[in-house]
Amino acid sequence: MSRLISRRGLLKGLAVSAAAAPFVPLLESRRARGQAVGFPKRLILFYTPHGTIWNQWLPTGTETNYTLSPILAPLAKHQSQLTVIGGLGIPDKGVGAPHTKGPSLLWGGSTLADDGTFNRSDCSGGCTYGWNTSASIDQLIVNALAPPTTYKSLQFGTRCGGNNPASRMIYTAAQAPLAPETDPWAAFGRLFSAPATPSALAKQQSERRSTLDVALAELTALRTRVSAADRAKLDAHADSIRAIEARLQATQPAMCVSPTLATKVDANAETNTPAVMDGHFDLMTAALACDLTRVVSYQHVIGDNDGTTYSWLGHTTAHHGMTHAPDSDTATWAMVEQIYTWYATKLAGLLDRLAAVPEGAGTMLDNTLVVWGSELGKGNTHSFAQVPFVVAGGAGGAVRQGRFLQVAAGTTHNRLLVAMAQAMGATAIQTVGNTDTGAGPLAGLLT
Amino acid sequence: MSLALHRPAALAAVACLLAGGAAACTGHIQAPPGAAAASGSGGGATGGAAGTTASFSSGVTCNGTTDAPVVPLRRLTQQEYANAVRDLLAMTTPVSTADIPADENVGPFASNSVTALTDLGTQQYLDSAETLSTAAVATPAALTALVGCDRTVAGATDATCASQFIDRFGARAFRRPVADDEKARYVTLFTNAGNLSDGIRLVVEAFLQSPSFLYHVEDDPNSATPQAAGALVPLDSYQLAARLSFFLWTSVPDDALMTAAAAGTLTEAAALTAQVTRMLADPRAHDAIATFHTQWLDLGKLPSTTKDPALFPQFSPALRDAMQAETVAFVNDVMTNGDGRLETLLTAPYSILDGGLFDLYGVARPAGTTGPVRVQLDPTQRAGVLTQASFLASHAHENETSPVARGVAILRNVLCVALPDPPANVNNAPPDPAPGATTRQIFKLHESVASCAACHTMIDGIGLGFEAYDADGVFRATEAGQPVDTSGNVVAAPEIAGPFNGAVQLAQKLAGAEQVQQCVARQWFRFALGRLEGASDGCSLQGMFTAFDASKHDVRQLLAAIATSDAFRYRKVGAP
Repeated sequence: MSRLISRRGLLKGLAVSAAAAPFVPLLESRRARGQAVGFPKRLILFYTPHGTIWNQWLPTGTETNYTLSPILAPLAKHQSQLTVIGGLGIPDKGVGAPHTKGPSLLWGGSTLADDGTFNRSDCSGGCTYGWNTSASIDQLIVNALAPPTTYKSLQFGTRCGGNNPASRMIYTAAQAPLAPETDPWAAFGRLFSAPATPSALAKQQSERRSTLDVALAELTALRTRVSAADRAKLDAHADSIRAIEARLQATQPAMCVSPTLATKVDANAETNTPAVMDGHFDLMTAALACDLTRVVSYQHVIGDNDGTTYSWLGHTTAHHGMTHAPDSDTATWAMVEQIYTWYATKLAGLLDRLAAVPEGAGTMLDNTLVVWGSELGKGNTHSFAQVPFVVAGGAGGAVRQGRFLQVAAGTTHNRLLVAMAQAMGATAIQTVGNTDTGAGPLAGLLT
Repeated sequence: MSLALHRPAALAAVACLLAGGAAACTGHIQAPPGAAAASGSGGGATGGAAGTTASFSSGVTCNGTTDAPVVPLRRLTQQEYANAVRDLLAMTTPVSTADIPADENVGPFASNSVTALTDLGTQQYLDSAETLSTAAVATPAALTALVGCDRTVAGATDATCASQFIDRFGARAFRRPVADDEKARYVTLFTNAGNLSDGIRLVVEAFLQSPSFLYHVEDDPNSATPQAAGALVPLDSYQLAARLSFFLWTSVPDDALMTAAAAGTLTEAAALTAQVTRMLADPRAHDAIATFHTQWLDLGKLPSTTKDPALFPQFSPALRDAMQAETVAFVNDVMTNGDGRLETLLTAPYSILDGGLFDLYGVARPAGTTGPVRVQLDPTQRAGVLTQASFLASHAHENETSPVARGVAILRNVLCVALPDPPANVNNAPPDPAPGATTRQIFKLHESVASCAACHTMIDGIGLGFEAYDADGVFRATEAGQPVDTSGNVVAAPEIAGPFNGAVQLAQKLAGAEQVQQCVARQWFRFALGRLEGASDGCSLQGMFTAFDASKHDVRQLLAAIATSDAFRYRKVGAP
């Protein structure tokens, strides 16, 4: 059987997404031209805010014979490729209000610095706190594996707020957040749009390089005249210019047909959230399929107070406020459950997209590690003791799929972070973050 | 108790028992943090020392020597970028900031002082520069207007026009003359483009990505290396012009400032004062005045504020916009047409209304008027910005008032009182309105639990004084069928401590309190410099407090005092 997939077949596969249009996965394209290319492993971090409702989230049954909970039911189609992890906690350490420190703790096991960088007059997110103190796991993996991709990683998110710890979850280092692309149409322009003709493309690239070169020369001149602290900022700026210029050196456009997004809408308008998410998922899938990058993340709103009113679910009050209802307020929690079930539906849509991209005898989902997490476990207690984690995809055979892992009490999510690194091939990583008091990967997750 | 209040019950049971940090609720002056972020090199800062309650300014010491801290390199805020581009390109439509990097905050104010620009951020500036420069030369008329070069003058060529353009545009973008080696790069860009339109487009595109445009660079332009670490260096006239223009206009300097800078006169205090007076009278000051008050009073959440439509059917995006516009118009009116006094901002019984606000305030639109119009309000109901609908509605829940949000905003932002975080596992969901119960009755639970009361006596004592305004900002005489009780009690400000009745009376007390006057002065200082105050700012702060007092708290005089302070006119050299 030919490994070259037909455009029609691909189109059919992508029909899961109304917005998606055909694109030829780069790897298949290379393979068709006789190049020896293996299918790389990809990583997707998927974040939704404010934890879950434990008794509506936790599956029932045994490790290999389990029934998905009401909240996770929308993922049933992919159950054979899911591993649901029950009982994993995030070490509750460091300064900052729970929603504020949660995003940094979640993917980095990193506390916030107690340096008062943020001195919030309204005490939102805590009265004084600082930035994170170390890199998030996806960036540790990127650094360890140094994939030869156009982008080291890509971040996407919907209405991700200002530049502060409650609004950022991906970090290359302490105090070094990577802001997500929050407008899929703007992101599309950066990732996929290019002038139609080779000469127009060459002109655009040449012009961009020429103006970036000026900035780079000025940064180089300026860096010796400023303090060490300021020089670090200028050097980071210069590094980002070099990264962009490296991409502009490409002599030909990416060998994949770009996706077609749905009609542009205001990405900051709350009511457009479902469409914005779909746009992000289309881009993420395309970027991975084309091997523009192997590491992506999706951040849904912010850790600190998701003020979204999920009006498309019929709600008239905002998410965060409802999660502070006491457990006895079942009517409110029923609405919150609708939100979390909807998150599962959207994640299922992302998995559908990944599963629609053929890779060898399987699909891109087989080669991808998707991890869904939240910044805390339960809204009305701000508890970190049990945080919902779902793993999907096979990471190229590294993950034991179709499982329900109920971990021992006291097991921390640092073990999952290490397991993610090892599944991706960054086997030297044994601990993650300054909250990690153990070592090694989560038992039972890896093959 | 007859009220079915399950949420407050949970609040009592779950939340307040754990308020172990109650001991911190002493009402002490909000100390700036260790200033590691604010001062870059970590000169310990204790502008207002914890625990000092005797006199508000007692934490500020001046040893009589000129001083200023090391300040970190800051990148333009979104608004600074947008306004600077608008002024550089003489644009008449607002510049979108939707796709340029989001801002960090220092205190309540936007200031990008810690994190570095990322790959995406740099790309966003590139994309924005490309879009803006393309539009700037899109038509021959636009190109001619931008370049401003009379081609009919003998000897004028594309090259000479471009050379003049680079000097003029570049100086304004950089807030200083473009050096020869810098200019050479832009000339090369222009020359390589091959024609005037493409050449100017690329020159503009490069200027808008330049570090000398994107950052507030305050190095020594005459030296290839920094001066010795710790050296106190006076800013030159260009750097002062830039500080002034971003402080008062949120944008790049105009020709008059650049001319003054070129003459080197801005290092004189009198010249700085004269510029402040001139600049505040210019319409470009409206943005900075609006931004200060919006961020200071935490009104940034207003555009996303919603209300329960069943309870507040009149609330709409248009009404929300009108509320925001009211406060912006009011503060600008006081600052430019009025007496500029803090007392007026906090107690004036008039405002500038439009749209649905006449109904909200229960006053008739003056006959024959359209658009925003100044009207007198009932002085028993309204007094200044803290009783305006923008503040009241944004510091309230969807379906009821929030004595806590209102109290915390006034304590922290207006009185500069430090409050600890609520305990992490507090159930701080607002209790639902209960039939037959007033908000005050519901929040009474805070008093009945000792661990809640430690902070909430202070917070609710102020916030409950605002109960005459519902979650929409409408004045109400009754709630839940009972007369509204607007009694309150000030705890955290010794000079005005004690009971008060209603927000109008509170506003008058606040306006006369030194603690408020000095807090507002500190907030303007933070806004002006994009950083928190630190130990080396003691003399600057004292000078500012004294000048503010001497002017009967004319905020315009305060801004002049900030502009002439050591903190504004000097910088300390950081570690190399």
